[in-house]
Amino acid sequence: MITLYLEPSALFKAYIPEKGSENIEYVLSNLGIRFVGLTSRWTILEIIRGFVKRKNLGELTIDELNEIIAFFLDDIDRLATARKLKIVEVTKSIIDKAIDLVASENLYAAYAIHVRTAELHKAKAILTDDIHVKRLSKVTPLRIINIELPEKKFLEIIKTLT
Amino acid sequence: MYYNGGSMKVVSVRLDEKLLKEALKRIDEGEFNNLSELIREALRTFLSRDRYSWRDRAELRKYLRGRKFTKSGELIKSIREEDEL
Repeated sequence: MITLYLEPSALFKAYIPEKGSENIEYVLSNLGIRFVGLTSRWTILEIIRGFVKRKNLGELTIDELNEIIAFFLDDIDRLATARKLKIVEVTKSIIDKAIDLVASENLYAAYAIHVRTAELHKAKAILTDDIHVKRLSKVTPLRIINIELPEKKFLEIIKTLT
Repeated sequence: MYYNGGSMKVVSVRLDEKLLKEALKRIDEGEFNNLSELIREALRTFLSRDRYSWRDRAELRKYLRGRKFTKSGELIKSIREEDEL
């Protein structure tokens, strides 16, 4: 099975209707069949912060926020328990390897943690959104796939991964 | 019901042949590693049925459809930049 790193900006789209939602849903629905999902424990915190920010922006009510966070955590737990999604802890070795990226590439810590986690756990590709494609492509030899590509194009690219 | 020595408990469940055949087909197709995993997943889904206003991710997105949302990538980017970490 092919290991795909789910960067927060891609995974977030599974829980909000927007461009790329169908592509990430395709990947999540095929975890354990064609793909193994991989992400950092940090992703969970970033996405929850994202939901809170949506509430602050008036996009969600407080009740919706609480319900969505509980659902999101349940969903992630379900995928992890079924061994479809591997959640990698932010360990000393990942931090050590992320330090040079932060220092040499002037990257924010979160980017460095995601890139190094994907590399260390031998992901075939990192799924992200179009805002982050360029930034990540500069700092890792891993393939970076834009989750916002048209569905047909996205599937073609995913199928080329072996 | 008895303990298997770990945190899981072992229970016996009677299944009719048709249901079992369908379950085994899903396992053969690689969707689940074994029958225990499939039954746990089915039970979890059943028990969470009324916990939320939606049953799954697709229903959640449908529930939220029609509203204007900030692009997820923009939000993630702004969170990282605000934290200056």
